[in-house]
Formats: sequence, C-alpha cells, structure tokens
Amino acid sequence: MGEEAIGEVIEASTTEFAAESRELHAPPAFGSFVKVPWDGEENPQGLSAIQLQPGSSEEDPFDSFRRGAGSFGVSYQDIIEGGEPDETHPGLSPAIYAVVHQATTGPADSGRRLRAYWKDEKQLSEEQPELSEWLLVTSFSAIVIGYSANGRVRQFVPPRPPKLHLPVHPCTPEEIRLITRRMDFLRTLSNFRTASSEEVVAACIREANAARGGDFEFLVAAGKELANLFKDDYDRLQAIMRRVAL
Amino acid sequence: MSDEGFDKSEAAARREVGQIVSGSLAKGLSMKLNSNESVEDIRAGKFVVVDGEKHQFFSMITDVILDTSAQGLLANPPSRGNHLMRQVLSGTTTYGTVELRPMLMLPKDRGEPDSELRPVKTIPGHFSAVYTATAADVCRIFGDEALDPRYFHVGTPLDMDTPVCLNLERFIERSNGIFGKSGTGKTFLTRIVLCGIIKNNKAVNLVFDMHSEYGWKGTVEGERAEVRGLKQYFGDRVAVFSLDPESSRRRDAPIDFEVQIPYSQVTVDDVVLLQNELNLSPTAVETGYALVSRFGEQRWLSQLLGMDADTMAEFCESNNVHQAALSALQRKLRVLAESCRSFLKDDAEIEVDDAVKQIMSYLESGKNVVLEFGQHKQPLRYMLVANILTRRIHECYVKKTEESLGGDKPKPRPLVITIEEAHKFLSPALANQSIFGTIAREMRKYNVTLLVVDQRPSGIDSEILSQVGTKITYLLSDEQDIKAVLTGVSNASGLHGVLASLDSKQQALVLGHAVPMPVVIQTRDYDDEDFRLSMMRADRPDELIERDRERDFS
Repeated sequence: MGEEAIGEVIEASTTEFAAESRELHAPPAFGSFVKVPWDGEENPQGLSAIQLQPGSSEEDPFDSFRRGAGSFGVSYQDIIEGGEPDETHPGLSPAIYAVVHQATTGPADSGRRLRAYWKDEKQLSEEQPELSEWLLVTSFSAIVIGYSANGRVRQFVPPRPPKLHLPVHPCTPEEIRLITRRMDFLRTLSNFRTASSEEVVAACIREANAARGGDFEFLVAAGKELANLFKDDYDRLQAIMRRVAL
Repeated sequence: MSDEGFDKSEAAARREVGQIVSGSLAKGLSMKLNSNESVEDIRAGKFVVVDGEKHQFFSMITDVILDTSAQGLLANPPSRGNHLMRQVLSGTTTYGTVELRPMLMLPKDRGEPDSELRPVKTIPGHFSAVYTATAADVCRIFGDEALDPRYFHVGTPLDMDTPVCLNLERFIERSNGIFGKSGTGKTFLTRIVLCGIIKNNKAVNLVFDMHSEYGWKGTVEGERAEVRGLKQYFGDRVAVFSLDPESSRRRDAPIDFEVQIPYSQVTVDDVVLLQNELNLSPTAVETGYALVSRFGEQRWLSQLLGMDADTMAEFCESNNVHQAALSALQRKLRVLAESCRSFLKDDAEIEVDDAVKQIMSYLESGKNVVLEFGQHKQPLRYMLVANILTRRIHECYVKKTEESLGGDKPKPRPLVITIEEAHKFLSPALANQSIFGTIAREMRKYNVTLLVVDQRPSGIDSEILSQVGTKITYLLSDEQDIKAVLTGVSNASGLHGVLASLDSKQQALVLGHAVPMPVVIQTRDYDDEDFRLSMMRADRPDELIERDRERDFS
C-alpha cells in the first residue's frame, strides 16, 4: 500500500467503519471497494487454531468438502455454488475489504451550523480557504464485506474490526476481481440496513464489472445470486438489475 | 457434482442435467433442471440415469414443466430485449422441472450377490444428480447384439447412437403387438423384427401378408420405389405362398406355392367370424350347425351352396330350421363363395395339394412362410383364409405339443403368426370365436404366438390386449387407442404423454416383456446398407445353424 491513502479510519465497528476523506468533496465513489490494513491474525480459538495444528498447517479445513467437485474451467456458477476450492495468493497483504455506502461533507465541528455564503465556488475558495482546510470535512462509511489473511480471501466478517487511524486505500482491480469471485458479498450488502441498499448493491456490481473490463458472464452470475436472495421479491431484483445494466 | 459411483471413463461420458427435488414411488420423480441446460434439449421419452446413494435408477422423462419461484414475475415478465435479465432469471427464479419415471434400479455395489437390474422398489434421495444415459447404460439394460445372439437391434434411444435390443427369446414367449397410425412405419418395423427372428433362428414365422409387403419385395414412400422382402434376405429359409398367383406374376415376384382352399375346410366358426362383413343374423349360426349335424363338417358348405328350393324346404322341415334363415345364409355364403372363387373351391376342383399340409411341412422343417393375398386383400377374404389356415395349424400344434408331453417327441418349433388389421379378428365381439383370440390368450403353452400389427388397438378386445407381451407403439393420436395400448401397463399415466408426443415417423415406444424397461426408440432403417450387412452375418454355415436349433428347440 505504497500509494497515498484516500482516507483514515475514524470510527470502526465489526460490520462497518467510517473514515475521513483526505480530499474535501472527494470521497471514494459510492459502491467502490476500499481496504484497510490489519494485522492478519485470525481468531486463535477459531479458524486459525485448526489451521495452526501441527502437521496440518497447509490444509484448509473445508478442503475435504470442497474437493468433491471437479473444477476444470471454473465458471461463476461453480463459484456461487461453492464448488471451487479456495485459491491462495501469496502476494495478497492482509486487509479488511469494504464497500463505500455513504459519504457526507459537513462542518468538522458538529456543534457548528453552516451558513450560506452566496458566492461561486472559485471566489469562495479564494476568500475562505479555511473552509476546505479545516472547517469542513468529508467522511465516508463502508460496509465490511470480507478480509484477507494468509493469502486467502474470506467473504465474511473479520474477527476484529479495523483499528482506528489506519489508512484507507482503494482496492486495485486485481483485488476487486479476487474478492468478488464469490458472490457472498452481495448477501452482506443487501442485508445491510441502509436506506439505499439496492443502490449500493447495483453500484458495487458495476464497479466489480468495470474491474473485469465488462464481463457479461459476471453480471449474469451476480444476477443469479441476487435472484436467489430475492426469491420472493422480484421487484427488488428488477430494480437492481436495471441499475446494473446501464 | 459428485462423480462417485461411476467409473472414471463413465463419468466423463455423462452430463449432469439436474437434481431430484421431490417425488414419490407411485407418481415418479421431479427434477430441477440445471440452469445451464436448455428446456428444449429435454425430450419426453429420453433416457436418463439418477445417481442415488446406493443405486442407480434408470428412468424415462415423461413430462417437462416450466416453473417459477416468484409468481409476480409471471405478471410482469422481462422485456424481450433484456438478455441480461432473462439469463439471470433462467435457472434461478424461472426454471425447468422435469418429471421422471424411474423404471429399473441397479445396486452400485456390484459385489453384492444380487447386483442386477431390478424393478424400482424405492426412489433416490433428495438432490440426487441426474445424468444423461451413456452407451454403456443402454447396453447394460437392453443387451448387446454382438455379445449375445438373443438380442436384436431394433433402434436407438432418442439423441443417442447406441442400439436398443429386443430380447428375442422373451419376445417369442408371448404374443406381441406393433401399433401405430397408418404411415408411421409399422410394416417396416414388422419386417425388421421378422428378420431378427429368422436371422437368429428363434422361431418360424407364418405371415398373413395382406398387402404383399413381406415376401419378395415391399413398397416404400419416397425415392426408392421398393425394398427387399424376407425372401431376398433369407432365400430358401422363406417360402412365399400366394392366393393370387396372377398378381405375384404381375409384380414379378416368385412364389413357391399356390394356395387353394376346399369347401371342406370351412367350418361354421369361420363363417361366424365374418358375421359383420357378411351381415349375418344371429340365427345363421344355429342354421349352420343344423347343416353340420345333417351333412357333417366336411360337406355342409358344398351341400348348402348346392341346395335348390325343394331340397331346402325338405331340409327345413326335417331339421326344424326356419326357411328364410336358411335361404339368407345360402345367399350370403354364395356371395362369399363367388367373391373367393379363385382360391375357395369345391373339393373336386382343387388342383394343388392341401395348403395347410404344405404350410405345416414348411414350418416343421424350419422354413418361414409368407402368405401373399395379392388382389384378395379385402378384409372378408383375408379373415376367412387366415382363420381357416390358422385354425388347422393350431390343431397341429396342440397335437404335437401334447405328443411331446406324453412321450419322447420334441416340442414343436415356436411359431409366430403375423396378422395385420388385427382388430377385425380380435374385436370384443369376435375374440372369443376366432382362433386368434384363443392363441392370444393361451397358445404360448403350445409354442404359438401372435405378432399383431394394427392401427386401431382400441378395436381389440381388452382382455387380449392386456395379455400382449411386448408392445411396440408408434404415434397414436386417438385417445382411445392410446388408452388401449396402455392397458395392463403399470404407471401408464407417465407413458401417456410420451406416446402422444412421438414423431409421426420411425419413432416408437417399446414396452413389455422383451425389454427390461419402456423406452422410446428411433427405429433402425430397414434395408439400408447397415441392415443388409447385419443380415449377411446370418449366413452362417449350416452346422452352426443346426447346432443352434438343437440348443434352442430341443
């Protein structure tokens, strides 16, 4: 993560975190993928404990059940159905992945109420530089959709939330492709109680699709996952798919 | 997704098409079609294998259904141009459900002592994978012609090239039926089956060939004007008899024997069989028997035909017969005698040997007999001749079988009698009187069975239909005919849809005694190069044929 961070974590919980954007008015795009580094230690009593047992350090506890599938030429369908064995990516640094679902810009001091200046943008930045420098702040929050540890991508909530004041970076297209190989994140996103979960899901699918350079197969696979999620809610499925297809 | 239970090579040839989601032993199984499979590739009648935990279930597709998990979708379907939405929905919210009828099960643990095909007694568990059948499956179930001469290739399953074989030994054990609308390919299949029986020496055949299609050559729709008949394939092993030598000469078809029937061979029962055709009154039977008791079995007909008014009055008086009934019977039988004049003759006029004796001697020596009717193809003549000949051959067979039971004589060679327009002989009203009814019901005890070829199975007595061993059914569209064919078949409901959806040509449902499970086949071509080649192999050395005969018939 050599590049400059786009934000810094200022509030964290297990399922989402808030970060302050480095640039005023320039948070990461709605529905885009961001990451926060973490120490990479999985729960010693949980998953990693099994992995750390002597002699089985290389084995995935789920390998035996996944191995049932022949997996030459893995399709998204196979991935959805869990038929694809986990791949390890040694170059992957441990990180928590999240999808931006909200961004706000407002006074840094929440007690202070802003007033209108009735000036155009250029004039305003010349006359009131303090606004952008320290009076105003842009922050965004992101829904945690997974993490990576030991070179593996996990599509579930990390054992611990990210630490405060860690830098937030945008995910690279390569990372986006990896973390969206399985569609479990769609369930996490659509279950998140937010006013615009349909919008988040659609935007995030568009991002993932763009990271693939536009892949119709991927859109179909994601759509199928949504169709399974919204079995009883065809209207919702349709609303999302309309936003995706644009 | 699991390929456990199949050998590696087998698993490679299989393609998973879906998973079992519900079902019952009584009503069959429901399979959810995999989302990457097109509903249109799934045809009724197709043969699939369900891979259960302990057994493989060989099943037939009986119905294909479009299903959805969201009713709201149906009220508001995606627009035609929305390919993404259509693809998303297909296999998830909208999917195909396929109804399967499990027919046979095979334990996966082949080490078990009774690891053979058995009728289904249970069903596979939830989410068992369903695969397309492979060539190995078809061979395992229907046998392989190359390995066992009992089996004879009659066609291929839908969408496959592997032969489906009839077990000929089982086939000739019972009476069989070939049904289908006119022009579906009944005659072709009958020829194929007859060739199989002759080639593999499983039985001798007597074919009542109404339209002169079997003996020397047959006609065909399309480019080729004709196909080879049995005689051209098997030479000396087939003898062609003709009622109408003139017609055979015109068609340039060699015949071996001309058939003439003396009046003395006609019994009252033969005439009764024609009561519909001759429009006989019920008293005609009584009148006929009065004549028999007065003049005897041999002479009643010639006497009746020769009566004038005086002798008639005298006969009526002395035998208590109504004169009007007698003269009506005489009138009608005169019409019959006149229309059959060229082959039905007074005993004194008969020029050739007794046809029945000739036919019997041919049959006894293992030769197959095709009786051509030439121009005499009207049902009246066909029925009369077929009935007279069959009745006497039946008598011979009963006698021979009884002799074999009592002493050292061998059982007679199994005989298959092929009749066309069978509903005329086997209608509910006549089935009890015609000899064919008797044969269909009980003659397998005497080694005689029928091969019934008919386009109107609903006209056949239901008791007889239920006794038919193997039914090969082409397309039937009449509801009654379909019902009739499925009489006596368990799980008939599933097959109903299959039968109604057959192609109009060369596609048939085979079910019954000679196949382990019902199967829809594309029947093989008759008289093409492959067929000719496979028949050539029949030309084995005589000693081999003789040895087979010893084995099969002693």
